[in-house]
Amino acid sequence: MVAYTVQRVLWTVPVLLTVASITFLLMHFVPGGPWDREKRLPPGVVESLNRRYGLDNSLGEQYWSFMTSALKGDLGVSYTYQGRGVTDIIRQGLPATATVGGVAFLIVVGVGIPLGMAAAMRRNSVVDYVSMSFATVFASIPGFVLGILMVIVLSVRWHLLPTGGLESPSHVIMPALALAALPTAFIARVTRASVLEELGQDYVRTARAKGLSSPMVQYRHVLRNALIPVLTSLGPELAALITGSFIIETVFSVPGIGRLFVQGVFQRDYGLIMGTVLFYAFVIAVLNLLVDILYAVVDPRIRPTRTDDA
Amino acid sequence: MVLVMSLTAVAAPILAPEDPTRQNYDAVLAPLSLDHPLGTDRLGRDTLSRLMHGARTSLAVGVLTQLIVVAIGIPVGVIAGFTTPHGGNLIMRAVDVVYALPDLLFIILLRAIFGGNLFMMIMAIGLVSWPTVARLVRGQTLSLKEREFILAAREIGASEPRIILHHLLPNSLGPVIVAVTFLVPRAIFAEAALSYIGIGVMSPTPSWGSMVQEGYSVIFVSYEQVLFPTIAIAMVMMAFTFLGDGLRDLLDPRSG
Amino acid sequence: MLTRVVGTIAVAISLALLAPGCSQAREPTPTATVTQELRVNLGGEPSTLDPQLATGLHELSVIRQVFEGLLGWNPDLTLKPVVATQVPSVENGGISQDGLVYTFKLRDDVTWSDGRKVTANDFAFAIKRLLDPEVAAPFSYLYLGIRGGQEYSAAVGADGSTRQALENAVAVEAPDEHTLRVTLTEPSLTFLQKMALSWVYPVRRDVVENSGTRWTEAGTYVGNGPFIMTEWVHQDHITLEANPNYWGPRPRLTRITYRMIADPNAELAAYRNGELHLSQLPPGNERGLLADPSLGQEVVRSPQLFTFGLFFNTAAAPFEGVAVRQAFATAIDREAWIDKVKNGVGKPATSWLPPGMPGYDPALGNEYAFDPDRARQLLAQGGFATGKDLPRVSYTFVDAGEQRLIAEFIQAQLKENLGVEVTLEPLDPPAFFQQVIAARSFQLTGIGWGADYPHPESFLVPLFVTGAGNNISQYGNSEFDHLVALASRELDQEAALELWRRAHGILVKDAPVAFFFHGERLFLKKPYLQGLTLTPIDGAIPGDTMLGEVLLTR
Repeated sequence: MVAYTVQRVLWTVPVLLTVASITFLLMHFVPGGPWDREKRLPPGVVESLNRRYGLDNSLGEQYWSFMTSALKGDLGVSYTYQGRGVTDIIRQGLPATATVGGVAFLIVVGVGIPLGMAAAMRRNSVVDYVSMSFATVFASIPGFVLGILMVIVLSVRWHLLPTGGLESPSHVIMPALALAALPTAFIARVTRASVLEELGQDYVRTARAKGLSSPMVQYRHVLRNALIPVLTSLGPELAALITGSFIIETVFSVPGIGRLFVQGVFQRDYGLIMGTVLFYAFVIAVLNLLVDILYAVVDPRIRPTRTDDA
Repeated sequence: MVLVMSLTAVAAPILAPEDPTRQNYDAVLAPLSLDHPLGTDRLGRDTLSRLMHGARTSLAVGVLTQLIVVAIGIPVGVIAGFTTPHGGNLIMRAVDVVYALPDLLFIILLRAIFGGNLFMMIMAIGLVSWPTVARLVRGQTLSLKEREFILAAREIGASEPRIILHHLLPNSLGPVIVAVTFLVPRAIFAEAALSYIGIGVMSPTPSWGSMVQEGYSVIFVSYEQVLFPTIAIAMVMMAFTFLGDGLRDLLDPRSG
Repeated sequence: MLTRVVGTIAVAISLALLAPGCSQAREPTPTATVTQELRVNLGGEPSTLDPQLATGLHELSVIRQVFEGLLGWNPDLTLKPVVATQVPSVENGGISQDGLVYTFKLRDDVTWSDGRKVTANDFAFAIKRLLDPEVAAPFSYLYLGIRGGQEYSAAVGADGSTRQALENAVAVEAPDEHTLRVTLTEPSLTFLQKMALSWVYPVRRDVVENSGTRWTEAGTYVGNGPFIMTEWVHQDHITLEANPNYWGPRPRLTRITYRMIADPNAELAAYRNGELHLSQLPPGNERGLLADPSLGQEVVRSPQLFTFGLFFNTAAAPFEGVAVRQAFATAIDREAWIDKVKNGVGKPATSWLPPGMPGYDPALGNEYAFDPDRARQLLAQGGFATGKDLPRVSYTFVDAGEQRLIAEFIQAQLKENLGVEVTLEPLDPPAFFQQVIAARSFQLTGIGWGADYPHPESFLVPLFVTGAGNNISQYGNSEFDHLVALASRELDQEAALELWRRAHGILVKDAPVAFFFHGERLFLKKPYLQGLTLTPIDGAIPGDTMLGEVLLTR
């Protein structure tokens, strides 16, 4: 187990390097650069900016200098936001995004899994239909529409909550709900399907035949096995939640990092693009690792190497 | 239901009351009426006709992207689960790389090369969405491959492809089908989200995503413009949910 | 990002036609009980708040409260002295007889927000900094008429001593604390207007040198205007408070809070929830909101110095010939767009200079009035019997704001009236700027242009002079170039304006652009916000040249 974890941790380095390299190439292949503006900049200004940001060097040199400083923890400076370091920008935006994402994740886990289980245990009952319809309806409204609908009802009509910003806990409610809607429905459905799958397995039938009481079977065996696909789905969902959503952060004016990447792309802010992609890749790598380790805890059968301390 | 919608999509040219691109400036943002059962948009185009034609674009986006997802995701996931632990690990790290790559840059690049057409959008969304399914399938494979019935099949000398096709896949399909049926509307969503940030599909026929985006911009004054495409997407969601449940029951080897 | 900063191409300036009932409706009575905090929306995080570097309208709206230049604007577009004691003229000795030497006398009582005195050296430093090749200021090109400016700003990568020598050669001098003298290479009637723009607002040498590029953060952002910045929470909000060391009358507002809401619907929602005092009106909501019994009363209209046109690539098929371009220009029903789709917002355009700009002529370009029959005749004259005979035409545009709607409208118009099939090619902003504005690889595109200063020069020179940086349609007419050159050097106002008029007439006849519409800004204003003065040069916030005069009565 320890060896496996160490191995996986070591693996994140080549994964991040590959992501960084491909992104770097992709970014430079995409037409349009950081100095392509509404009004064309004079050639002298472009030349001066290129020198300042090292864009007059060859791509190879630029790549090397980015990588060497990134390894030292320096993600460089933003090309858009004058004088601000990318690491700083991400650090300042992270709390807002993590707060909203964290609350949303609690909703996803706290509502999605129980809802899915309830639906599965009472298959084809009112509980099943109501919870699944609920999940479907919320999942069917695109984020920006759901967001503005909440704003219209809760802020404009009833004046209950502020429309945007992130100054107090009441500011978190709407963006977290809007962000959680789709993944909650998704997790509920995955949980339901997975639990149904397990209930149909031979060992459950056997256990039932042997006279084990139903709830006992459910909790001891079904849940544990049914959790695997749920966990697989939760990992990326959590990654998406805590790295933020451009749309939700835009509609609710959350000063987070979800907006940064999209802004970076649309301004060809090479510094911001590389920084946010690396951060995102890092979060994904870490969460996938956690998911895989949790797997092993939940289900000893899928430990990757039989020689481990099983 | 899926059938009805597919038929609508195919038959849109016959069924639709109007040409979806016909602009009538004397009926801009018209309310619901006999002439325009679902009203009109900002250029006076008939919303009902646009929705019917949009069904083609959006169902194409939803279904075809998932074909790409399934075509790549399932084999990668099964192989990653079935080969040696080290091989599987290598594949999954490659999947991590694809997953972490910035979709948006990729889509903008594709768009610059192929233009903002439907084909580009389907390729783009398909090519960035498969890692989720690959991870799911691998998880299922890993959990199933040590189970009694697989081990038993192996005992009696079944070949690996046979085990995969006859024992593993049918048993791991449940969550995968759910995921895929869920991903169909999600792809339609993704297209709406791309419309919101300004890189949506640009085709002669409208897409539901771009209709939602257009409706969103006038939501304060003409809610029906966003309501109807949203209902259409919700119906697709329902339809595929039921389809997914039905398929799951059908494919469940124990339910028969 | 995809804020209106991208949505409206170029720095737009709106014109002096004051909206009725908006400016000084009645003399407001200050009420001690009301917190005088104005809450407005910037629409996005500023890239920089450095006066020499900022280019966005939202950045301008903040900078204008924190800094003041030598000259400023009256609501009617004329210049007024601010830090200078008078607007220089030949009569008052501020401008030499040959029109080359400008002398500005400074007020004695102007201080920085930290109490130090504002001197001529601060202005000299700012102008030289603007021209500094290492600073790479986007709008330095407007000031290359200053003697030595061209050479200095071109010295990219020069070694320290060369740069120093070139900097010293720039003809901006401060013979004493109260005198700034600037010498030009050629006379220019627009130089004084340029001296009222934010790019030559003064900055403090010690602050810039000590704090580097981060000097614009709240702690070190030293200005000389009526407000100081007390807080800049990035991506969220900026807070300004009244500057206790301001030399002039204290503003009636004690605080301005700028939010950064990028989504127009979210902005409108915040306004309706009482979180904002002003809100832009999201495009498409015109009809609905004007008809709304209560919100309709809060809509304020303000025409802009802004024109949107369809630019032809005159260097490529099928738009080399003037007849084909004229055919396209005549085939677009501008009235349908303005009256029906936009519900009367904006004004159909048949020429380039917008209403309110000196040289504007409403009768000019009347031959382009919508007429499908004439359009088809023109097309035939151009060598294409029907629209089907044309090679494939594509319309390239930025997929932001209303641009997609415009594209679909144009597509339908050209198909219906000329029988031309147009392919729509949406691009994201930088790709568009690179492909269309820099590389000029397109056939037909939609561009809006706003003036940097209220003069025809700003509307004609950067776009239509042969080889100009933003000559997107690759237009070239030696007669036009000649008239523009004459007009730029002419010292007599009337004679110069006549030359600009003639140049504009040639441009309209050649139709490198199918003129489409002149812009108008619609926004919502709370009824209890009073004293808002709309000026021709408003930035992102309506009335932002004189926000200090605003008063809240509730």
